[in-house]
Amino acid sequence: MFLYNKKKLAVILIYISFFITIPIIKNESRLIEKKIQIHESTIFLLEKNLLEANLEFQYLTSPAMLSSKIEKYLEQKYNNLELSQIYLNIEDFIFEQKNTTRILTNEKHKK
Amino acid sequence: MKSTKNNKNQKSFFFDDFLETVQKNKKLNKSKIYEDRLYVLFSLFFSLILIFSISIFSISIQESNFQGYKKANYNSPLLRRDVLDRNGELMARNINSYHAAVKPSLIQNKENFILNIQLNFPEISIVNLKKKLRNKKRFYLKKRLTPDEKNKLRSLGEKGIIMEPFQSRVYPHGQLYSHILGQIDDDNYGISGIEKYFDQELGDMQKVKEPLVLTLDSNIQFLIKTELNQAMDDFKANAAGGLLMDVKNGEVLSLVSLPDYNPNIRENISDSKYMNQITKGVFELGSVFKTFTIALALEEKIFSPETKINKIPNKIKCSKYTIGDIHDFPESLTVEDILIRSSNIGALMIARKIGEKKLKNFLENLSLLKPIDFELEEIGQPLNFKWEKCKLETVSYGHGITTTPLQAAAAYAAITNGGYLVKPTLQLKKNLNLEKKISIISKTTSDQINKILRKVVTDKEGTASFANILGYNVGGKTGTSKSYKDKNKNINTFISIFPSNDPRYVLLTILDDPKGAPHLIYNYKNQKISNISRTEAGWNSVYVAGKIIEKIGPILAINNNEVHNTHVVKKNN
Repeated sequence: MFLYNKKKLAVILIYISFFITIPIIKNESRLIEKKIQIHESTIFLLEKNLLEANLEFQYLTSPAMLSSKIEKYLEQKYNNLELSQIYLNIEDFIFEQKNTTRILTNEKHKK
Repeated sequence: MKSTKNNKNQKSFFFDDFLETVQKNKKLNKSKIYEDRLYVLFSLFFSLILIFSISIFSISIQESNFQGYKKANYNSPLLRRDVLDRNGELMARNINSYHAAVKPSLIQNKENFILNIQLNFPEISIVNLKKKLRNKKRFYLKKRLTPDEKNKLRSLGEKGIIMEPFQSRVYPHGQLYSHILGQIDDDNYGISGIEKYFDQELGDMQKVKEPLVLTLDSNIQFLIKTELNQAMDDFKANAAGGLLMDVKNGEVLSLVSLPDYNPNIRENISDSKYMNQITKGVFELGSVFKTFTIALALEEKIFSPETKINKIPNKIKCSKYTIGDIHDFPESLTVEDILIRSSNIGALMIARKIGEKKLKNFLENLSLLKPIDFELEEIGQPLNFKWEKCKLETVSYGHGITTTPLQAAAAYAAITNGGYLVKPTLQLKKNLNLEKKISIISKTTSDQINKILRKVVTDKEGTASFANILGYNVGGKTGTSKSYKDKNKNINTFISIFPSNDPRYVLLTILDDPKGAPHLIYNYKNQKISNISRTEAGWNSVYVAGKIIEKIGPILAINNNEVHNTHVVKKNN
């Protein structure tokens, strides 16, 4: 009888322990899944913002937009220069001008 | 006492305490009843516990379903791949958007609702809205909402307005690639252009994070489009087109067709002037075909470039037709002069020496007579014709034969790149150089043709001097012809190759019915001239091509061998 009671008690105890531990484990895993979901949604929002920022960047840096901004905000115009018109310092420029003047005056005298 | 075990029949008598026994039995009986009740209760609770345990266990092994609903809102994957140009610039992308639907049964105050909509969205027709509200069926109020519109509708606080999530396709460059990219429908299926041709690939969910890369260059596309727009203004043309292609591998860097449209604004476009002039437009391109005639003559070794053809008449009669030239040419011309000066009679005489069969085969090998295989749905079909009387003569100088500008440019690429066929392509591929090369003319002939095309631009008698841009060794051929549909309108073409000593690119410009531009100042033989009202290709298509090459040359990094004189920029104060 005593043994039989012992057995019953053991079975009941095991059952109660399962009954308690399973919900605890389930609850913990649910909390972890919730956290994972929160992180996933954060990542998704960040990815979405990145995509939208990239799209805006592509639109704002498209050739049409850039050229319209340049026309609107920059008044400068650019021209090409011949290499012969570039002087590294003022002395080279004066030397060249003097030579040119000398050649011209010599030609005038010859005439 | 004898044991009764062995003898059952034997009765024995013994005397017990009656009271004790009865009471004992009663107690025993009672305890039995209690035990039984206990067992019943125990089994009841046991079965309950068993049921709960099984259900808890089954729930714990299942995946949680409550996240499914939220996932649909947050993590809806993009339904279509991005499209990029060769430099990685975005051309098309799907974004999450909303449609606004209305459930009339949920709207309590309909008059208030109509008033709010009228104030916030004046473009919506109130008459239609009232009709739909009376119908009581669910309907769409506005599709493809912008973020501002979505916020406005949300702020109305109307229960009857339902925001349906939807994916919209956005084209950041607007009209720049309208004829190439095409459009998609509301279900994200391509209906025209690249979107339709690559519909399956673009909708492949396994590759959704890998973009589709095209061979186009946004900067070059923009520059060519700007110049063609300007040309349409200057020459009052009905339409214009431009194509830039790599002659070595067929990669199309730019394809412009004007007029164009904004694919971000969904509208029905039915006017034929909005067709793709380069791939769908079928034209009689005129004198550009003379290059093919002469290339074949050189390849067949019937003539050399210096061969003089004597006794060239001013006019030739063929059946009931009289064929002549716009200008009077000398009686004797070399083969290269025939191309430089663009003599119809000269080309005709050369074609007669070649023969119809050879010329026909050559044009077929150049894929000029049948529709081309290209990565767009909008491909034109050259008009069928029979090689009957006088066909050889007219085809030799580009009349009586139609083709698309794309095919003509591809044929020029084949003739000038060393003589092997190239297939125009829009998709950037890695192993293009490994594909088999099919030769149609020899390298010698190709070099000879390149030299002649250069002379068309540099020679005094040439027809394309406006394309002679310093340092790019431009060669090319003009074509002025009458429109197939209306003989009073011109189709002016210029197909150029540069640098002509070792061609890398072919540029085609085409203008539909350009008029004279007396306001333009031309730089003609080192003189600035204006008040010119001429409408030949040399005065409009060539002019535009020159402007384009000037702008795109530095981007293409063509080795400008005359740049040592001109390379510094200075602010113009």
